[in-house]
Amino acid sequence: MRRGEKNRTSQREGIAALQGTIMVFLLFSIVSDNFFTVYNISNVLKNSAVLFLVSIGITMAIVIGCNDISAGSVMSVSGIITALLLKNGFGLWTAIAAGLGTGILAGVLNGILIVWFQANFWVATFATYSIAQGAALVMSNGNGIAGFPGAFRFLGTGRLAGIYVIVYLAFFMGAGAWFLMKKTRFGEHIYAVGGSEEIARLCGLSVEKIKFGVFVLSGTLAGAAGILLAAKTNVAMPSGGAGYEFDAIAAAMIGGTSLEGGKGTIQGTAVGVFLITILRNGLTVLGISSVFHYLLIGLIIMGVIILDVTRTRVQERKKGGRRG
Amino acid sequence: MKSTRRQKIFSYVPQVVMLWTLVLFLSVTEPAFLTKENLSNIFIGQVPFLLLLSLGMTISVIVRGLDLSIGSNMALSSCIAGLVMKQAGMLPGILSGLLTGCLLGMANGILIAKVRLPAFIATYGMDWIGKGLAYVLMMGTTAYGFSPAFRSLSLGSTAGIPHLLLICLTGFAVVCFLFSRTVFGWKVYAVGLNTQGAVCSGVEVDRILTGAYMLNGLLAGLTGLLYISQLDAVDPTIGEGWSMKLIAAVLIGGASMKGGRATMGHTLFGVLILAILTNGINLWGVSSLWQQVVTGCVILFSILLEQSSRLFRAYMEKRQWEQKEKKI
Amino acid sequence: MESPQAVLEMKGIRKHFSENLVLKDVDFTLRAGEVHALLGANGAGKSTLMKIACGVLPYDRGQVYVRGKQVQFRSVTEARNAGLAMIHQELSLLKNRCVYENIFMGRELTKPGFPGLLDEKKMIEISRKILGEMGYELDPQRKTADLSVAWQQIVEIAKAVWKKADIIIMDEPTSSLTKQETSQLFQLIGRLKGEGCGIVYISHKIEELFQIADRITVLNQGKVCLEKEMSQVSKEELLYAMTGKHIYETRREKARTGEGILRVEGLGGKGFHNCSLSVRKGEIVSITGIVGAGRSELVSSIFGINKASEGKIFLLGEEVPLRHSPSYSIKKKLGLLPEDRKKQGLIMGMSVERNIVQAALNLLFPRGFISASAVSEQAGKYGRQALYQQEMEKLPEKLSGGNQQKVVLAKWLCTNCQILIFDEPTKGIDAAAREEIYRLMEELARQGKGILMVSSDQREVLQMSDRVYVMKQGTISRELKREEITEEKIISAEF
Repeated sequence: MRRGEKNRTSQREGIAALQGTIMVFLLFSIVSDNFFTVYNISNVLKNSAVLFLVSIGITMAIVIGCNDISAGSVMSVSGIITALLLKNGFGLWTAIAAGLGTGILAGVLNGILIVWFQANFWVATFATYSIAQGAALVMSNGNGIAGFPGAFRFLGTGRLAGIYVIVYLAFFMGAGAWFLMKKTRFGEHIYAVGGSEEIARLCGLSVEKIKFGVFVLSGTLAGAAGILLAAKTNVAMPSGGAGYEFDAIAAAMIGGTSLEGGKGTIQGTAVGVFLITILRNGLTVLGISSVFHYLLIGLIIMGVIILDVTRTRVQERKKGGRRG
Repeated sequence: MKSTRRQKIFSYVPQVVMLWTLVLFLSVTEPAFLTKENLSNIFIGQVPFLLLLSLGMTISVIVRGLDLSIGSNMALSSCIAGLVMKQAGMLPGILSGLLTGCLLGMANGILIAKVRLPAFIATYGMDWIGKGLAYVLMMGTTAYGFSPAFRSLSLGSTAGIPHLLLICLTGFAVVCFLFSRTVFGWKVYAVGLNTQGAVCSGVEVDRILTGAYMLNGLLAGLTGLLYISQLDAVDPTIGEGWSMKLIAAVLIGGASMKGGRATMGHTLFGVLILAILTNGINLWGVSSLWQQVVTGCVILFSILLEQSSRLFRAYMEKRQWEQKEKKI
Repeated sequence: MESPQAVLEMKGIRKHFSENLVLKDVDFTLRAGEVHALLGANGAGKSTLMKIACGVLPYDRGQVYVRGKQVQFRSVTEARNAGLAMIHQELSLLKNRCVYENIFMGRELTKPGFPGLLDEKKMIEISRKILGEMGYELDPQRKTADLSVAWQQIVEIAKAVWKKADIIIMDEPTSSLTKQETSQLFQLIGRLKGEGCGIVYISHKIEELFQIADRITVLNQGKVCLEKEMSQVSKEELLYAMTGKHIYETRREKARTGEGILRVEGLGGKGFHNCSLSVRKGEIVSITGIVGAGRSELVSSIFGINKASEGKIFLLGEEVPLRHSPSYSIKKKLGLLPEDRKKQGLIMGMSVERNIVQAALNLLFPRGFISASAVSEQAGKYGRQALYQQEMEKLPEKLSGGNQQKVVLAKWLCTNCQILIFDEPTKGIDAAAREEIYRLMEELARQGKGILMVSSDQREVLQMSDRVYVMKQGTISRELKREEITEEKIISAEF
């Protein structure tokens, strides 16, 4: 009985989010005829893929006890750069590499600010956010860049065995991230630093390197998400990634990642991503004007965050009370 | 007493030098800079709005936060004010606008003080909610063509001074007074500098924090009113893209993000520098898209400057301390 | 040169913090296979000595030998690699990780041929084996947060065992254990001893020491004053060794005390329980006890920083609601000079003048508008009263500890508080300023204010107090009247 304890506690939170997702799913299926169709479900999967990529990076950043609000605009800028290169006749792989490189660069900037200059992570990622946003606008001249070669579009809209390529990509990235967090020394150390930087340092871990690594990873993933977003929509907008960071923070928190750090799983985040995507999709399918989306999603997400924070606090108080 | 006053004046030196160099450079290289049109464009078209909102941002920086919802707050309160004004007249309109700003600020304050969310998350969420509400409100309706009395708030002038400038300077003076000469202002600084110490000195931290964010919201509401008065119509998109500019203004003013170390006077300089810089970019014929990059770099540069000087100081202190230890 | 079985030897260790010499040429020897107890009153230097051994703190002079080899550790990691492990009072386990992950943290096993890839199976297996060999059946996959403190301690020891530590330092390991858990721990210590580990055991519970220790070293004010086989000493001898044999005359004439102004009945909360005390007008009352006995927790609950969960507080005869805030206490004329002046007492970055009036803002300016002249007048007046003689515009971070304390005192004088709680009033303060603080306290008592002082400094307690409460393990264990206050009585009530 004792053996199972660990798994049970960590799963309990995930299950609550999963139940919520299934309930929302069923609700939409009952209310709308157009929701539970092959077309729409594969659409949901496709849409969640991009969000999932960003969310993985942000989950890691939150688990280590920080946050990364630059991810959205990093997506925009990497999408724009990839699109520009493609438009100017560069090869597919060059363009993709440049997009990813942009993400890595943004991650390195975050890492330098936070690790070397010891800046507060909110402020640091905000600086990166504003620069990336500006760069995206300047490079695109403020306009969307549309129309890509077929090979690139295949990434976003092509199918293999009836399922979108982008979904495979997200799945493999997710599996890789899960493996990294769960099965490798690096992942173990991310959780340790998030649990307590001081203790991690006492155990001989190099906290700085681990933090740097996480921010570079988060930037890279945001870059990848930006590329896929452009491939999926066949257009790179200078503000295409705006708001993705917020959705991603929310997805991570719905999936049981705590803002305090040291807690959270990739599979939990996956559930969170599904919940948010289903909500957005369901609202569209129900014919609710997109004007309402900002509001409803904002309210729901804030509600979830507030619930999460108060719940952990109540739990802590109960625990403390028992000891005292 | 003298020494502190001198210190206070000295702390403005970098900002004054920056401003002066900028003005000098622009007036020499750009003949269009010192024209009446251009100056009124800066001081009536830009500064009043930027200043009022930056004061709010400064308040949130003083209490160790950042308010990303100021733009949305301004948009939402102006939409509500406009709609009410069309239905019920000018005074209810103005009041409802200010009240909306206050309430949204209060929501921020409660989320931060009571629920203890990080200011970033709370105000970021509020940004989406405010924006969403504004869009929903304005769905399928518009409000334009306000009464001349209301429009004169932004267009009229008294004794040669434009009302807009008058209002924003009054606002500035009131906020300055609040933070330098009232119990509330002193307590806000105490909370920003050392929350725990403030609690131990009997400061009601929750109330002070909420109050600070309410004041912040009120300023956003006021700016929204002035904005629609100038525009003569409501527009839910007017809140986009403000946060970055405001943070840049506060940072150029020399504020530290560590809390309790920002002043309204410095923010005024930050606003002037930013407004003139933006104007210069336009005059040079550079695409206005570059503005964002410039503000971003300014933010980055300020952070680098602050952090490196802090690290340098810490290093020097450590060395001094070590030498002292050796002597003993 | 050393006896062959000495695993850790420290010779002539000297250490100072700023101007205080805290260790004066201390010798300490730990043999293999022994439990060596380290005993001493607050500030005797036992934790400092052990932190030096583990590389946490540097030292001024002296040598450290580990298994006969001279060493100079620059970090905890180096000490660990040499086989030293310290088990801190606040455990250094990651609550969000499992038992086995904690045991292997920083030295994870990886699959052969795949660097960076964790070999969980092997780690779990080894953890189970280690725990099993120690005699415990604990599932290595359990979350550390779900374990009781005793089990966490066992994990902590398992961590040391896996790292092949043969010098284990335990700092108050039983402070939060139940009787049964304590005896479990003792069994484990016995087993480790049998395997040849040397164990340094720091504890305030003298009875325990007789049960578990082989040898004992008693420190008193940075000097070794007793080193003996445990079987050859008595409790009285130990208590006597810990007292400084100093004679401190109380410096105060008998106070003319008035009616009670602070009364606490059966107060309980985090870290203390069932505490009752009272303070009368014109009286200086001390609370003493070893560090960790719950003194600061008690007074900060009286002031309202922490919240008490049971009991009653009366200020000036009126009952105070239990979950009150400091601002309420200030209204009721109660002030607290906290131990941590930098974090709680003062607001750094704000001028001395503003710090002095900070707590009295509502009182001085009931309409909310501040007049600068009134501020400098009030600050000047109370600053002078508190013997503060520096500039009013200075920032408190540039002041010495003594002047900082004077500013805090001026702050409370400004609120006209009738009851003042001094938490470690002279900690980190030089001798001259210390005298001034004492003089101020006496003066305040003469004016009819009630003073409650928390202090670890025996001398100060003996000299200043009209009455003394001794706290032990979270509750008040003894009250000493003016005539009864002696160092022996305080020490024997503390331990």
